[in-house]
Amino acid sequence: MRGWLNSPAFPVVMATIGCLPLLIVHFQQLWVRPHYQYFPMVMMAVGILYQLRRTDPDREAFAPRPYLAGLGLLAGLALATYAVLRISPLMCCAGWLLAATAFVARNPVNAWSQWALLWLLLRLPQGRDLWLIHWLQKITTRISSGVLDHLQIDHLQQGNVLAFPDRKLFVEEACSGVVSLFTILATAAIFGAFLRRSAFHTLLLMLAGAFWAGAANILRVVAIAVSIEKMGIDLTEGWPHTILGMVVFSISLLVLFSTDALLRFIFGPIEFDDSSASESSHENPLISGWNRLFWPTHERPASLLGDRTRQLTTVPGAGWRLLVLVTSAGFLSLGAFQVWGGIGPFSSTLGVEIAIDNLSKESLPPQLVGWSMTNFQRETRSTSSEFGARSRQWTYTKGALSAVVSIDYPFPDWHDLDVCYRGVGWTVSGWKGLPDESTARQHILRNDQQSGLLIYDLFDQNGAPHQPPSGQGLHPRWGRLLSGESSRWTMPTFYQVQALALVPSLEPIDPQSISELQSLFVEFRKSIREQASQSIPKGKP
Amino acid sequence: MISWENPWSASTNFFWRVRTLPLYFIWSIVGFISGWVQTRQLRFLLMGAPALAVAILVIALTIRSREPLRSETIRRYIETAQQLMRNNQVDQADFYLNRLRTLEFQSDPMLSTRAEIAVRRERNDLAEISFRQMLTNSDHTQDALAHKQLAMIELKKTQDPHSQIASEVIRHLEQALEANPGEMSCHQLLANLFLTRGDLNSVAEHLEPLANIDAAAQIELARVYEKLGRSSKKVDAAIKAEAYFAAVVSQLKTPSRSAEPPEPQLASQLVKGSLNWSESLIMQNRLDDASQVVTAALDRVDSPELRRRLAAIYVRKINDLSASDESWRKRWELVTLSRNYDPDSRESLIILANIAAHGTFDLRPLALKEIQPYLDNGQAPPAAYYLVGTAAAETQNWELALPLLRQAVKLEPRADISWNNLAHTLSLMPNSDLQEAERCINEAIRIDSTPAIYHDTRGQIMVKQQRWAEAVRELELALPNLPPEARIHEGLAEAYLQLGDDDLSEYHRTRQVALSK
Repeated sequence: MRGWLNSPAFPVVMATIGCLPLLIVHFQQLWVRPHYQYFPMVMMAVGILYQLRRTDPDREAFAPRPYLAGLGLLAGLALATYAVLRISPLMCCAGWLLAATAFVARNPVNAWSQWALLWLLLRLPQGRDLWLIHWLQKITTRISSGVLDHLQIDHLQQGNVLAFPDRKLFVEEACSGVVSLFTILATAAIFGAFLRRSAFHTLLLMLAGAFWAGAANILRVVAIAVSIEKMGIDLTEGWPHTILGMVVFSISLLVLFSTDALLRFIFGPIEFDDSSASESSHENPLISGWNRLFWPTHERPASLLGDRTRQLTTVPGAGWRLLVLVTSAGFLSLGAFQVWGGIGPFSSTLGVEIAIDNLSKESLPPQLVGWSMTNFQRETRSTSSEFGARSRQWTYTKGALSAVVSIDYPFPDWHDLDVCYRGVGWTVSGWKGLPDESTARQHILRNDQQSGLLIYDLFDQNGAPHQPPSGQGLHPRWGRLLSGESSRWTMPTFYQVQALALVPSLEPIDPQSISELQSLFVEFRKSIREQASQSIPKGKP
Repeated sequence: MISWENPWSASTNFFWRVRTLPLYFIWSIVGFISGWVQTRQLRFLLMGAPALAVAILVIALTIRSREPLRSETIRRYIETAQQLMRNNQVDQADFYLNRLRTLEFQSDPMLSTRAEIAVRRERNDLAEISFRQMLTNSDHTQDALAHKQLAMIELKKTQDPHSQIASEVIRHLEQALEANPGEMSCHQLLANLFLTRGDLNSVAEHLEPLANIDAAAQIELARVYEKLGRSSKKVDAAIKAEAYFAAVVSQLKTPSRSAEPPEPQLASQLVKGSLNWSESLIMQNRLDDASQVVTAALDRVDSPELRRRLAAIYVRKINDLSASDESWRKRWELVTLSRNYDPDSRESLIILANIAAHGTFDLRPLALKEIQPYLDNGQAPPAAYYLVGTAAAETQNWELALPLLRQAVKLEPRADISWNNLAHTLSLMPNSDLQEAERCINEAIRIDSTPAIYHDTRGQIMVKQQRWAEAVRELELALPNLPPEARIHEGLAEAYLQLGDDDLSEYHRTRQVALSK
């Protein structure tokens, strides 16, 4: 028992057990976001690196830091507790990473780089990742358009879409997959860790990776355009598209490798040995500062490592064992609490997607608040599509006005539909609420030929409007679970309902028509919420 | 590794170190630079060069992508769009123009092509925006076109020639002409617009330059001059039109009707040319020449329009005749000829009715026999009912007169004279219906109260109804404006007598007797 408690791995194993339900949810949420699908590669790299470092000859160069380990363990437990109360998979993962400090700080093997890599498992909060992607798409589209102009390829830029005389290329889709910004950033980080670059060097390499991600996307967009327009070869789908992605990714790796060399040239250490000839270099503050930043520890002369080896023989005491016992109990309690709450793999089965998949033309009446149904269609898009991977669309008309009401799904989180419309070239007004004061948002659309009205709303699988659980210490779900009012917790999956009406005029849609569209949307939303939530099991199983 | 002496290594004294701080600073910088340069490894630079080169290329592209489109590219896009428009590939053309939409300067060719696309897509609102932009930009090369097209767009918005929009149309067309005086289609549009407004002087103003270039317009000009009463100008224009259409018709090689019928297009041209040619001759009052032209054309093409024109020429000849006995016979001959070509024409039926009412006694029954079927089946014009009905009333043929006059007012309720004659007939016939007669004369006076004869009729009806005061008022109104007639004085004498004014009664009785002699 004492041996277990002294083991650096023990507290982290306990933390992993305690955080596992929410960690599973976190990884599920990462997987449904195509730009984070690199994360298994990160986990694999961490494992391999750790194995490599264990056999490293200079593994004994690092001293355990028990205070740092204890601090990390406590901070991890606190954050994980808060995360469980708020049902925040992201925060739980961050807590687990803090707890992992206990292993890294007490392990004689230098595993800090692997630990740093693990932070790539976190996603950017509050949609910052999507914001970054949109920003990159915007830049990519504009520069690609400039390049195509120089290549005399006739095209038209509409938001994030490059249109050619006979087809449209969504830069959104061109930027997905292996050439995504986050994948290249992760690759740069792994690259830095494998090559044992200094932290600063790796950060610079990641920064350069962001730059190369943009350049790679420009290359891919231009390559697709040139191949279509000049050679008649379609690289937008199928295996040619995959091969192009791989080629561009390979080029990105080569350039990243070249960038690493360039960084080594510029930021390489001002190396000196332990001889007295280089004594003055020891005293030069600029040189020592420079080397502290850019000289990897394993390459430094032993004299520069200073006190790092002083505590090699530190043995954990009773205090440490008590701390491990307490935190382990804490983590296990958290785990039990999550199991009781039905979080992660213990959540109830999702039926909402099946219910939505089954929606058909007959799911809505031929006449809806005075509107007549004229068409119905199903649409399937790329999983990276900002409009949702799947849609069910009904077209209703009333007089000269025609509106498409649709349900788009699934979305892992809040989804700004107006951003998507901006992305395809619409000018979108700021949002207004509906007269019923629901969570729906209404926007006026306009381009150079048409105007329109867009109303949309987002719901979870239970038909509840999407609202971030802010302003409360305890997630409302726990309250309902504790009082026995509610079913087990399930991973949130959202679907979006929208109504879109376009008119071939530059004049905005008149207030009367807006009112009629609002009525249509409200009735449609009501009907869809009822039908989608019918499949959800009620009560606690 | 280069090694210099550290200035601070000489002493640890604080003041010494402060004094040597600049030196120490220089020593640090120089040492750092020296150390940095000496420890660089060239192989890393060589390996990093590709990244550096690509980065420079990407940055250069980024900077260049911010540059506006080159004029050469813009021209290529516009030319491609215009070519696609000529090939009716509207969507493709739109694609090319959309690329230029974000340009700060929108040239006239760009905007006019965009507007053309919008017009083809029936999006006049978008076309209007483009045309208005053409007027406000600094490129004025196609302003005339923009004004003209804006006029066309505005014209579609209104049916009212006097509306504000119509005035806007006129303004645009006039500005188009100011920018390009040779734009004949603007003259044509303005002429049409002023014609609908009834502004014939402006119509003539715009047809004149048009007719100078296009002789075909001379006939329209002659018509306008005719309406304006400018006879000499009308004849001048008609002479020019005659020369033009005579040449047109003579160029059309068509066989006579006995041979193969001409091609429909050729026949149509012949008919149109002959009609215009004959019209120009009619305007010169050369009716015989006009009938020859139409007869010759009818020999080549059997056309209802030509037949109607020939019938109209005969009618026109009738209208030029005087009212002598001989002319009644001539009228009869001409109307018979006219009816050979257009038996149901309104004008010829009226002439027939006129002959039946006022012609010589030998011709009246012949004319009445011809027109009777039209009168019976209600196909005769109102004037024919009026004429025959009035003539029947004059001969006291009440049974014939009454239904004809009733039909006349039914077909033409605004014909006050028909109402008067009907009232007159109703009051004079046996079993007179004085109430209906009063209603009819009241209608006549409501339509037009000025003719004295209507007051006379009303006065006579009042006498018969013994409404003496009203009879006096109506007859006194009629008396000064009518030729002396015993009947009016008789009525007045009776009315005054009944009203107790013996002196006036005696006066009118004396006047009645005098006029009766």
